[in-house]
Amino acid sequence: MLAVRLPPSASRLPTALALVWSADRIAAVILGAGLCVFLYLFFFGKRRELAARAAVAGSQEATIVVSGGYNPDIVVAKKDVPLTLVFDRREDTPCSDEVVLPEFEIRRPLRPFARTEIRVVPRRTGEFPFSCGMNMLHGKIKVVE
Amino acid sequence: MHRGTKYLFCAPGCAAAFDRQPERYLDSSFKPAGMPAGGQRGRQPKLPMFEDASKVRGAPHASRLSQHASRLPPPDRPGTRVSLSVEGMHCASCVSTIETALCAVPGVAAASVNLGTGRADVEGEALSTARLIEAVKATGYDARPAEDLSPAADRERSEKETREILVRTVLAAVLTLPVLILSMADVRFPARDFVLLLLTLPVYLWAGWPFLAGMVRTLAHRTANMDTLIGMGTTAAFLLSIASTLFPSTVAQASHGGMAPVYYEAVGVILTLVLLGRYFETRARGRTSAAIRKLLDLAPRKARVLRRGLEVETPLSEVAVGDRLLVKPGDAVPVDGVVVSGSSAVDEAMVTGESIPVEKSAGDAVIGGTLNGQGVLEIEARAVGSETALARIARLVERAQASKPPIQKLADAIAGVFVPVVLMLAVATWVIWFVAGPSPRWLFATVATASVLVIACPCALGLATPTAVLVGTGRGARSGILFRNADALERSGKLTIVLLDKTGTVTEGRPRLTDRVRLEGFSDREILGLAAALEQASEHPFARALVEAARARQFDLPAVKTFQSRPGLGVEGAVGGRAVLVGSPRLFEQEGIALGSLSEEVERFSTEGKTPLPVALDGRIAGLLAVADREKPSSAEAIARLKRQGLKTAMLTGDRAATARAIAARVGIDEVFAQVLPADKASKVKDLQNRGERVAMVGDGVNDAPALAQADVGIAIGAGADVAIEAADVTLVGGDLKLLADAIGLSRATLATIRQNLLFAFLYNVLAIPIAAGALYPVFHWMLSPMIAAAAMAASSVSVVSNSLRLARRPL
Repeated sequence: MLAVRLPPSASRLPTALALVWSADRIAAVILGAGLCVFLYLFFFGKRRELAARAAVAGSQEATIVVSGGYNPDIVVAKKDVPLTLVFDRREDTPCSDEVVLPEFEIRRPLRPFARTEIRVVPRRTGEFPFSCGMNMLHGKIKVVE
Repeated sequence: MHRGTKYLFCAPGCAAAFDRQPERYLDSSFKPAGMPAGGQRGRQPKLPMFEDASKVRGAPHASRLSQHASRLPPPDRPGTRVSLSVEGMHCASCVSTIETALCAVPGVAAASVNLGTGRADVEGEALSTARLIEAVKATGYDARPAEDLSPAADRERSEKETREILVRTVLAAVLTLPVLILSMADVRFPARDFVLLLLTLPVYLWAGWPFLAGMVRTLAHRTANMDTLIGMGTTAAFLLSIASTLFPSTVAQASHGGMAPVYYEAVGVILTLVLLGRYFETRARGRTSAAIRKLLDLAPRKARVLRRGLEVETPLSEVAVGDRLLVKPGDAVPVDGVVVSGSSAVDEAMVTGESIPVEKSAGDAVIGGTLNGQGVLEIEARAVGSETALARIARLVERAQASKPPIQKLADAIAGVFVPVVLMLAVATWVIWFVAGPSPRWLFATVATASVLVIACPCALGLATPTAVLVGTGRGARSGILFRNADALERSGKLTIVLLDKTGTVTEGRPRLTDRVRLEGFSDREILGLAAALEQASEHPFARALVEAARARQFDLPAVKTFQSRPGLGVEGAVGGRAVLVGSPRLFEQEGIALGSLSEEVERFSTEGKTPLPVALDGRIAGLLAVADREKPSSAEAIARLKRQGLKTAMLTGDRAATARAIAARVGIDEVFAQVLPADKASKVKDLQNRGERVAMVGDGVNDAPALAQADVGIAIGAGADVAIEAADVTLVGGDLKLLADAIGLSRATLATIRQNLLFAFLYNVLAIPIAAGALYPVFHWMLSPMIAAAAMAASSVSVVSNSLRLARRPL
């Protein structure tokens, strides 16, 4: 069970010298390289910023849908106005169990399929990231004057 | 349609409301609460009509209402406040429709609906949830009681969650077992592969659903997490097997004359093991934050409030400041307050860490959440709700748990790119196996790729620090050690020297009378009684010590006729017909009163760390009183423990060197900085830092705030429940200095746990991913089964969490 069962036809590893650069091998390398570039751009490329301006009227509020990520992942908020972030979590994978807002020293569990309100007061301008408990899903609050 | 004009509605409820009373909404004088005047097409339809519902989203109205709703205290007064969860709302007018409908229900005083949260908060008398729901439903929306936000409901929900994972795990295991047996034993029968496919399909689709759904969701957001990896890994193995099952000849041909291999057992075993790992991990993680929940659970749900002499059982949320409460034997004290009458020993261990119950009687402060002993107490509430010490401690702990120690930075940076990098490595693995691997190349390539996807464990990396911080700070809070943030926790583990403030930290901060010497011809009653009588008018701590001592001996203190304070020296005046002078030996020098035979005693007391106060009556030396601020009983042991931890100790005081050295010697402190003015304390800390020391400054947080802030770690030691000490990095709630060593020990242990976790998580991934990719194949002609990869992955994240949980069981 420890090792993979190999079909009887499995042959020995060809040595580097014996390696024949057949068309399919060349195609695999090109395809693989292309896929890596695609993955890089897909995950780290410039993203269309899903910015949501929090509605302002004495207090501001923005709803963020949590489902495989944060949507919107950028919330634009005004400085010095109490901001309510409503995290609407529509999944129950443990990956998004918690949300962390380091700037505001908040680590809050998000109940699955429920809305969790987090209230903060942005006291300075700038971009303040928030993320899941393991820092894999990301979003940020952009505080403006 | 109404009178030839077409109106559009954003929701069926709006339309229904309009149909019932169209005139009401078309009448320009009608303005539902909060709706802005001026609507579409000049007819000013106020309530229901918008041509495009999307225009209305995010209307300022909604946020104004939500602001109102957010001011409401949490819904925990049955009958007077009901919260509903409303579904089907789309716009601000839906909000006002529902608000209007709710207000029409008898007994409702106010209703506020929040579009953002989908919540309706209703206030009033004798409310029936069912009737309110009915009212909302009548307008065409759906409503149900709002989710219970209590910790108990939370626990129930998380239990339900873990149960669901368990159900999936069990189903996966039951269906996978026959697949595994058939595959391992290599049993052959017609259509065997189809049977395996049928058994594996529900495992893949149902048990594996969380991963598949997660994979799709994350990719839609251009992010990736563990679900993505598991989803891709199992999908690769599953698709490969299906291809072999449906088109055996084609696949066999592609395998160069071999057979068509299937990996159904791998799919099943991977999902079973990963689910099992997730089950254990979820359960263990629930325990990591248990400390703070336990803390909040300490406060009872109900209090016995005394109303007009009658005892009324009242929900805790309705207790107001000033209420008289009755605390019966064995009850938990419901809120922070002051004892009005009665006496009892109260166990404050849960808040201060002090294990011996504290005797409380009239005038003493009690802390909510502490446990009453055998007596009955009547208390007056002084702080309720979020203002209680318990709530503030919980907030402090929550904030600490949310913060990240600097050690986490590298892990964070890696976690952020981890999964995309693993995906690229998986692609590279496939290409290398395909180009340079043995035949059938595509088969090996796919299996190795699946192993790489499955074995990579971002969770171990992500859980390494937060779980340890969570458990460490929670463990501290249980014993009265509060870390302000994870940074403070980390720095506390790296200290080299502990600098202690003398008064109130090493000592009790309350001078007491320690010695009395009287010369022939004078009585104790004369010396102490008259000196204390005179000192009654003074506010110096020494004066208080004398007055207390005299009262304790039940000397009556005659009235003071004249009183004169000699700042920094002493006092003089006339009491009971006699001229009394009490003060420092310097005062006597100035007055020209010889101390005579008492000079020796004065010297002796000074070297013992006591302050000698000669007393003269009618211009003649009569006796000598000595007062001293005694060290706390636990100080010596606390210092000894710090030294065992390899820390240097030093004491800082404004006192004279002789007095300070005497105390330092008794408790075992190495170094003394005496006659340091309060303003110079911070620069003393800086001097030590310039020497290359990492300094902890320990003080009461009142007059040494600058020094606490200057120190690498500022530790405030507060007797009682006053935890509002913001300047400090660490707060020791009980006044016990022994907690200091506990705090440093705990921070070292937490730091060690974080290091172990991070090292393990890094090493695991760095070693496991290449092995799964087949790095050992060229040497040993052996590659890892994806099933083992799954087992390793599951075990790694569980072991990280378990390692963190060890902190909770650690004795301090």
